[in-house]
Amino acid sequence: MTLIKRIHMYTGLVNASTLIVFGLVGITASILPRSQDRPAPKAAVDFKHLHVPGDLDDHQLADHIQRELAIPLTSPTPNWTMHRDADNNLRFRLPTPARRYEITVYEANDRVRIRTQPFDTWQYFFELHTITPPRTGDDWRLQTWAWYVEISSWSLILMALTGIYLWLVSRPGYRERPSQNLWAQISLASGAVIIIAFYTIIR
Amino acid sequence: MHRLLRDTHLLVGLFLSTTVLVFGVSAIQFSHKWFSAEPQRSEFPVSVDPLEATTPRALASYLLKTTDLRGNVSNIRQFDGGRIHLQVSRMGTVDDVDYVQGDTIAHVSRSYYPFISMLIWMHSTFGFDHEYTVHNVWGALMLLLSVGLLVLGATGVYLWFKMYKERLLGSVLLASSLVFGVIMISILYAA
Repeated sequence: MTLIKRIHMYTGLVNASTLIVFGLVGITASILPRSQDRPAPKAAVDFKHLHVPGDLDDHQLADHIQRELAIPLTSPTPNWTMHRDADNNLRFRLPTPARRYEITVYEANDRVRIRTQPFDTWQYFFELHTITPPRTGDDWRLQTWAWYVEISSWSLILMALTGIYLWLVSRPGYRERPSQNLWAQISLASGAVIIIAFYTIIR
Repeated sequence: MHRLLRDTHLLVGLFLSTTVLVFGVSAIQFSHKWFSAEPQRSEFPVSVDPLEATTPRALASYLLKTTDLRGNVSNIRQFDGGRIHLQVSRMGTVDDVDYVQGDTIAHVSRSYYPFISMLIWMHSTFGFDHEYTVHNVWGALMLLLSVGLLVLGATGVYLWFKMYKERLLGSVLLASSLVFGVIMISILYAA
């Protein structure tokens, strides 16, 4: 067996988990209603006493709360989630792959409200497929998964290219079955033409 | 059976190879942002019949019929003084439209994104609930790709399993991948 064939085959086997995740995410994202239109699992609400320093701006305060709460898998607050509500309490979100923490800071009372909104299974899988190394914090679990997803993205490219190569170099072996070779050519060409035509039309 | 599965793997793989490349490259760009995704911006006026543009939706319909604006209509806002803002967007092109009711001209500010951004858009456009039909057609292709990935995986495992000399190493790799995946998915869910 050729080296290229081994690379093609073993790349697929090594990435089996993420390829299953990618396939499931694509199917469920296509056929299910959007996550915001699906019934969400029940949320839980908790309160915690926490010293709230008075000399921090909103971003520093959100980072301080995030560090103090030390919720696993969370990173410093994304800017776009922060706002002040009608009572001037700071609100922000701390997302993780499986759930979202919605934080409200009651500065006057040194109190924090934590609303934990779990994701449904398919939203969880969707979030999993978006985790990549530059978008994770220092948590080793997220980093490990992120690198696996990263490797799988490169592997998709590698498998597509080695697959085409294997077909090209094996074509003479199929000469006793010209119909199969013709269908292979049609498949490759039609797949490429559809993408190029789509690109052209939408531009 | 063997020939059927081998042909399926070959034909599905070749058909989807271009789409898989689009997804692979866009995933890398998603992750690293190695290439500039800054749009080219331009502004131009378009003619409007004020009698046809009495509401934001009516304005949008009119523009979609009479100009080269195409896509989903979103971000509709109506301000005091009859000013309307709306967005018409399709993969790679976003048109911000500003119009004051009664005027015969609307101002369009177009953001035209580069090739790499278009790949990102292709990656993240899915489903069949788009106003713009072309996006729904793309959604169907995405569904086909996703099913195809699983078909490729299943037929690929079968083809590997039929190679007796490769079973030992392959079994170790496949089992490692599945065990690792299940453990990581469980850990990340439980954390």
